[in-house]
Amino acid sequence: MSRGHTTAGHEYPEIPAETLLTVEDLRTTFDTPRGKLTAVDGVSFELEAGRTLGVVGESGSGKTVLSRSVMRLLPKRGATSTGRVRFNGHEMVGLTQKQLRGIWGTELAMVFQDPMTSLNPTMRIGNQITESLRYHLGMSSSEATEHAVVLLSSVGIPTPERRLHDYPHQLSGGLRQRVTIAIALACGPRLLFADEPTTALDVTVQAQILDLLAAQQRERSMAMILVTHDLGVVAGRTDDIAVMYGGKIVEQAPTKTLFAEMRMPYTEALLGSIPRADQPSHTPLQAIPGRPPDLVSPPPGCRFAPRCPYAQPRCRHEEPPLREAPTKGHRFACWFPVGTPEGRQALEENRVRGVALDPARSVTT
Amino acid sequence: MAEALVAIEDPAVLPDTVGVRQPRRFTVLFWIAVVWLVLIIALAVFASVLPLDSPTQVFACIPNSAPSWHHLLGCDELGRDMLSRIVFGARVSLEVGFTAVFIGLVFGGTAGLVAGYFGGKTDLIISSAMNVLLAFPALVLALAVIAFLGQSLRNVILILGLLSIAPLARLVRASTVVYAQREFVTAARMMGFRSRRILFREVLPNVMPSTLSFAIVAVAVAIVAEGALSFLGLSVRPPAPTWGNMIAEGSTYLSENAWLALCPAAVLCLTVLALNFAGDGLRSFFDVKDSAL
Amino acid sequence: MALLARRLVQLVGVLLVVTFFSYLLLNLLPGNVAVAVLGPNATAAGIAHVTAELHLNQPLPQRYIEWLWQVLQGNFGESYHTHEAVSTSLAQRLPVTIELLVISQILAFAFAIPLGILAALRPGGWLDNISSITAFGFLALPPYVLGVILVLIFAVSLHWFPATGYTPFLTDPGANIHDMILPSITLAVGSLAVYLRVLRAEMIATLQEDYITMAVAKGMPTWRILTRHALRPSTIALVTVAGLNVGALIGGAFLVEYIFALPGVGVLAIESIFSKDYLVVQGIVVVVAVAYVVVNFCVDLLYLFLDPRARGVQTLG
Repeated sequence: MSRGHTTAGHEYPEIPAETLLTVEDLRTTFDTPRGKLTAVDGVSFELEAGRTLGVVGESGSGKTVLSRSVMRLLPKRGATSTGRVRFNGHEMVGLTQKQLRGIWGTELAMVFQDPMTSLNPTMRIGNQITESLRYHLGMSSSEATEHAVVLLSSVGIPTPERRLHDYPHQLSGGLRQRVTIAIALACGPRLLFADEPTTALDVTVQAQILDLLAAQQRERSMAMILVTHDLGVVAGRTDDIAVMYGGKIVEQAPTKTLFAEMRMPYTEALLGSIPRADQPSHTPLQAIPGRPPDLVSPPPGCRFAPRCPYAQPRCRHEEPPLREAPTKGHRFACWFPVGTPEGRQALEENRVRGVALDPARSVTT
Repeated sequence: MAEALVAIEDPAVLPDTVGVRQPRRFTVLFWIAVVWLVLIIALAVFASVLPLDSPTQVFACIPNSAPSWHHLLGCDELGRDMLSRIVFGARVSLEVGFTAVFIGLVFGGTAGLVAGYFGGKTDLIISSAMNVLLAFPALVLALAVIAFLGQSLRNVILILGLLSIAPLARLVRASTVVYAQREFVTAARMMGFRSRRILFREVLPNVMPSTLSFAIVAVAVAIVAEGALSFLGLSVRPPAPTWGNMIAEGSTYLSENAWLALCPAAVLCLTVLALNFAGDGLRSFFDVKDSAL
Repeated sequence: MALLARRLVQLVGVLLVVTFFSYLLLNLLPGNVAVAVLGPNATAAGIAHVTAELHLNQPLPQRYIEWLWQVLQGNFGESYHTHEAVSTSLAQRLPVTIELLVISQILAFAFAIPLGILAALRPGGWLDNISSITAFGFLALPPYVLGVILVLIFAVSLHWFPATGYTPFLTDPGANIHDMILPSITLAVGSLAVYLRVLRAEMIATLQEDYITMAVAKGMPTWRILTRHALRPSTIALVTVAGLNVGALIGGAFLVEYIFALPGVGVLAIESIFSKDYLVVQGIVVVVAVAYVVVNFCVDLLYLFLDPRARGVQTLG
């Protein structure tokens, strides 16, 4: 299993930065009874080999559709997806289903949200792992079985030989997610999509699975896109973070920069909605008031404006472009950014006028 | 290939479409079916006052003659008017179909309501009794009962009524169980209303729509079953016409005059199809489960 | 194993109830049972003989047990008309009916499974529309109508197949199959329509499952996803429906035998009803009802094979 470079040590990869994935102006729409729904609206980003990008947003922000669009794993009917997706030398947009099958599983793989539903209940775990080994890598049955045992033990499943003969319902949720990870890793992909991989799991298991993903990624020098609604999940585990809102990237930065110098009020609001260990217990968590925008007829101007404590009249009719911040690799879309004089002034004005949606409206945990 | 293979299951992808309800409407096919059923029922009801020859009068016209102005559907091998025989045959089919299902509704419906509402031992006893009824293949049980009880219209109706009790009871029981746990029933219980009142005033009206649409399809099933018994010569005795015995008689003249078998067969199938369409249409119209509450 | 034992106990219970009700049929006869069984030419001596043989002067439970004991030994009594043992007639006729049932079900599944899969692959596509409409139409075609139409087309007009008649398989296998084609198709069409609709609906639902998207993301080819991933979970409902369909199928087989003059159990039943040969009718009811219960029992067991979740969580740990 040595596709690409396997770094033995746990030093940070010394591979020359090679761009693995380039997404340009990706736009995905769905036909709905009410009209065209734009779930991903002109998204661009790059990802280097072996690095991790966290994609964060509320449900309905388009983050799941974004990962499906990059993989080209969209329904053929009712969905349109345009733009450029360059992955590992392939121009993905416009590939036929047959060509995509040569990439899916072998170079690109995905771990799904709910391990209760993403494993086939009527197939033994062994077969679910070995079938891609046999189909893609042409292994014999015994080779594939041997390899499946290695995979299962590498994702931390005890007594893997016995587990091969089990059905999914015989395993706990955490073990099942380990199995789906083993399946995704089977053919040594260069890029792994993990779509909310821990949302359906017990809190105690969540960290283990995230650590496992990180470890596997380092070992295989595989790139990963970690999709989540929880900034806490990505905090220590990604190189970069992209925050999505209403189908667009509204802020993107290296992880440390994002937490230190966030510019977008939405990012701030997301951060305010997660519990933190450094705060005294019973500190109120701040909920984001309002609902995500309607993607069939999005509001004019900035899409977050209706819920934004900083919003000014300009925000409601003029859409802010995604612009570069002084720090390298930091982009954001906001007219009155957090932590700038303009932002402070906007917040103050709203407070004086008393019209702002009260960001302190909160729920106590 | 395979557009159905890849689904977007994130419900958030389509945020506001779930709440939009499609307007309830009947299809064109539903109305065609209703028109056909009204026609057949009207013909059957008014058969004796319509200007028709007697269905049993032989040599009313030339045997095996083709349709003509006086005999719109032609005449059979004994010179009996086909239209008249089909109309009088409709009487038997409809009488058997509707009466049998009515019996099924009264007994099966009550049993299902009681079993579903009270649950526990009552449910166990009623459900076991229904399972015994379902443990026999329907037509075989019908044949056996006709064999031992004797051949008559009354017995055909009784046995088909008996056979429709269990399926209707099961259906009513299933939807009663759902409604018996709803808030408005609990509320009625809290207010101290008697069970009988709750059953008839609160549960029954809600169970009714799905039951009626199923009952219409059950009528089609009973008509097909009566046709089978007549076809085997075990329903109403000839020369009284039924669609089933007309098909059976006609099938012996297939090489001479296929019309004799095909004509009643077509009327039977169209009626069954119309009942199926009507039942399906009502079911989607009344789909109480998903739309309300 | 405990599960299997519990199911077996249930099976015995149901069989007792079913045989009891089959036995009770004789009591539906109007008037004196012995007189009815013997017919209008009954003599006093004959009546006394039948009364003794059928234990008619004993209380019902005792009679039932005596009768059941005989049935368990394969003795269903003998016809008072032909003086042939009921079990002998049944043994002659059963293979014909079973052959008809088996061939028709093979045909029904052989067409329903590929059609259901293909229809579900593109819901609303031309294949789906044509097969759905045809299936809905076939559901309104009872065997006695379809049989007549098929005879008219393929026997009377085209002379491809005989309209009636039967050649035993051991006499001439080719002729036997040739004779069975039209009857089997007649019987298969109704089942085909039911199976097709169920499998299509189940496949469409299954193809929405996460594990199918997962298989797609693994780069598995479409045919493999359909046959290895989607078919088995979808057949669970199909098996249920096939089990429920057996009752209708047996009734259909009786009609088909009558139409095509096949010497099966159905024709024997109808002949016996007309000749008031009550013991034969009773024997047939018992055998058919028991077979029906046993088949449904086997269908229940088939679940355990198809759905690993139904086997219970024994290997956990």
